[in-house]
Amino acid sequence: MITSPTARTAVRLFLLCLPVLCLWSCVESPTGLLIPEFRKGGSLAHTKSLLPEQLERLEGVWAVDNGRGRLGDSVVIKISGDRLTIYARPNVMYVQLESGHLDSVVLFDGYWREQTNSNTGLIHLSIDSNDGAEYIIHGGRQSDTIRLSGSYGQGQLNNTDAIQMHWVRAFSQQARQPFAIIAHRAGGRTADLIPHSENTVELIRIAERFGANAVEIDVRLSVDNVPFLYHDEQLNPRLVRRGALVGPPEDYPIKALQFLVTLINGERIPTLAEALDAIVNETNLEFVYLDIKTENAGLLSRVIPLQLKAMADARAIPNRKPLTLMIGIPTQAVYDEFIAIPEHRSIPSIVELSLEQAQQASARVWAPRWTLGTQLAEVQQAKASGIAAVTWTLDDDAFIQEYLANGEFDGFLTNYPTLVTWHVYMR
Amino acid sequence: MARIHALTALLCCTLVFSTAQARSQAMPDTVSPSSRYTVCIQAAGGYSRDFSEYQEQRFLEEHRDKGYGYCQIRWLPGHLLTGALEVGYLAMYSVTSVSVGESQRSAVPIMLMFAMEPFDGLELSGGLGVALLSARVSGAVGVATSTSTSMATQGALSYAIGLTDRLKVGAEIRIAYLDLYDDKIFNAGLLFRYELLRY
Amino acid sequence: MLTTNFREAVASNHVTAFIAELASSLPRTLSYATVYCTRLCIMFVVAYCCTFPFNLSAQQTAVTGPMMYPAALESGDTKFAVEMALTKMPESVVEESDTYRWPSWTLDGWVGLPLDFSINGRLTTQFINWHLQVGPKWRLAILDPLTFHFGYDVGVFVGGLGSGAFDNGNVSSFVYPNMTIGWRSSTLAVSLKVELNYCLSKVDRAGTIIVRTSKNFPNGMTVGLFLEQPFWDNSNFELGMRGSVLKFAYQNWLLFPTIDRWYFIPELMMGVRL
Repeated sequence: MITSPTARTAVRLFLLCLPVLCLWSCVESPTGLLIPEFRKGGSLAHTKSLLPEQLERLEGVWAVDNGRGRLGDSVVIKISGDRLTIYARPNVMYVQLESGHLDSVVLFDGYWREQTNSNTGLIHLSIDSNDGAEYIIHGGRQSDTIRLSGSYGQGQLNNTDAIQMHWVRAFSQQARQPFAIIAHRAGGRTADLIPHSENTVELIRIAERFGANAVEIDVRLSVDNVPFLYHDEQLNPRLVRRGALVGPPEDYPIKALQFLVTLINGERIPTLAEALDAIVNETNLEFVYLDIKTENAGLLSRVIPLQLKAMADARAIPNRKPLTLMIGIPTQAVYDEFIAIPEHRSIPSIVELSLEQAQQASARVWAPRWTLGTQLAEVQQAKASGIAAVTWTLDDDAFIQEYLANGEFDGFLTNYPTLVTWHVYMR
Repeated sequence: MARIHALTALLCCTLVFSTAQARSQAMPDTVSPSSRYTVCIQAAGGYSRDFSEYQEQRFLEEHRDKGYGYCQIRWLPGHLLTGALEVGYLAMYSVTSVSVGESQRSAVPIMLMFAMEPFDGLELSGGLGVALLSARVSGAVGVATSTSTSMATQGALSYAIGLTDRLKVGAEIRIAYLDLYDDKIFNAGLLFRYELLRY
Repeated sequence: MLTTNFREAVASNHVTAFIAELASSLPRTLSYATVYCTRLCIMFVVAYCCTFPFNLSAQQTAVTGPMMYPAALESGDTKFAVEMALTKMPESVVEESDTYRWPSWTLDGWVGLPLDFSINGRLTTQFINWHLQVGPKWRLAILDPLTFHFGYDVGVFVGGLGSGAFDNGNVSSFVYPNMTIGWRSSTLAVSLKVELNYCLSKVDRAGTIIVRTSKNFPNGMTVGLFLEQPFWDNSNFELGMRGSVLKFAYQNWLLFPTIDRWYFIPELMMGVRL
């Protein structure tokens, strides 16, 4: 029995504090979301992998029969990088699948993710022999019905909810027109709990899995004049783990940055050369938007040789899609520095300022902010003068739809390439 | 981090609460203050330990045991509470590696502190402020320095005895939390308090 | 309502577009106001009737020093305090902007009304954020030394940032049903405040475009613990900590729009009664 008044009040206070303490202990960890994986190879352990031409037979628009609460009414299925991806609209949902076939059954294992929140889980799908598996495996006359069915669950569970969908149509001619789906910061924001930290080689390698055919990366210059990838002005806990360095990364030599800084998901800060090497040799990306983040004199003169070398390297790789790297010009100071370069007209660039400035700089692309509207007249004028137009950074579902329907942009820079892919291929 | 933060806050609250209770029995009416205001200066220094979680990495040397020091101007307006403005220095963390050399972190906290003396000589204090953070790299890659600014909170427990009418000497323990990088630093040291003015 | 491409639709500046959007939501706002006032009246009438016998016998404590503690306040009396709070926003949703790290400053004011009612208003600013919360409180002192405040506040938030390529704004409105339990000795007042948060409307503007409007969603709750002591003369010093579980924390309006997750947001605060 507590008799001392002091002890009694301490106990009372402790009880009063408990609710706050309970809440306090729930502080969210800033590190990424744990993507679940099938153990021991899942159902694909003993299957034969599907070839790209077999997977292509699955591409198209599918109607969802069961699971509309999660997937919506229609989904897009498309080969994306080395995966088959299902693109859905609600909550920016996508499913990434690996595939295989066993006798006359096609099997898929993978995970699903809603990018606006933290929901993720395992998913298992299959196509039975009666539901079109023969056609997927062997080709020939297209089966009357192709039906995907299976189940998904939250986290490591994979069989709590049933899912079924059937193939409706191939992509339209309009959907097949070139359109730049540019993944912001190489794949999205760290805030969206993407699998790797933004602006890393690891994220660049998988950017295509999210439907992107282009990436935007942020370039800064170290104190010893090495261009590197990093978005923010400061080394901050949003992007890096606590370490021996503080303040702007540009205050340090690259060796210190790479050795003493660990990014939030465990990666290290890449140099621009390392990032471009990955883009050229490990992806089929077609377009890279080099966002110049600082007005540091000398940054452009060090980025341009790397840009030109990477494009030449890409051209030398047989069967690789053509690659264009563009210098992003976001501010007047960078613009002034760029046009002071004598051969700037031959250097691919993307100007975020006015259309007139884009024309004066002989930019390949004009990139106005999306909040300025569809700017139909200006976009048409740009196209008439041989300049493509993309807008940034478009993440809002309704406006993606609006801009695709009523605008004439050639691409969107987005944190949600999966959502843009859904809209583009639903057309 | 959050749990340590919460436990520190809880400890402070519990102490404030329980000691205030004890004090209330001895001083039933603090709503009528003495007419006397006092201004003191306090200086302290000693051992500092950075107990933050750092990225897992192997270095030739890693040092978290450092030193600290600060100076406070204190105002005692007649009740149990004292207000103080503090400027200090915290050496936090240093590592040495072959490829980079030595890198060090330190901070200069500028704090608004509030202290209470529930029992004679025993004082509990806490406060908010800003800290100027700095890092310095020197060695194989040359010399590079950078700075940043963080919000800061701090809690302390001290005990002091009077040597003369105006001078007190004592010992203290403190925990500082620097928000930007979730830095947590423990301090233990000696303090000197001198009464400058009564009015 | 989603309004697309205001530049072409309204062919006017963004301020006009923004006002037009707000005006279109006026009937809805009035309807909420009516429902709110009705609920408020019913709540206080019922509560007052139920506890009237206790009020007659309760010991009325004449402490007016503390701010958060549910102290008695004579009709017509006023009190004011200034408070500074540090908010620890979740790192995963903040972007490079440092504004969310700035301390917020609050001017807290009370006006006493008859029958143990009072009006409490709190104006909080983080310079690019302004939040006004006003509502009646009713004091109940039936379990001395415990006293209670029951309140039902409305809040309006306005945020705006124009810097470089950014030109963003947000206007949101909330209701905050709340209850405070207070305990005091002669040297210390302790208050535990629980506040629910319901977002009535949230309108985001980016450039000339109204990006998104949301309305009517439960937005979580806040629990706060406050300690108050005399500091100088009759001024009180307040030390508080508060934890909120929120979907939309208004301090984070600039960076919030595309994320739909619950977050825990701790705060540490200090205040002084003026």
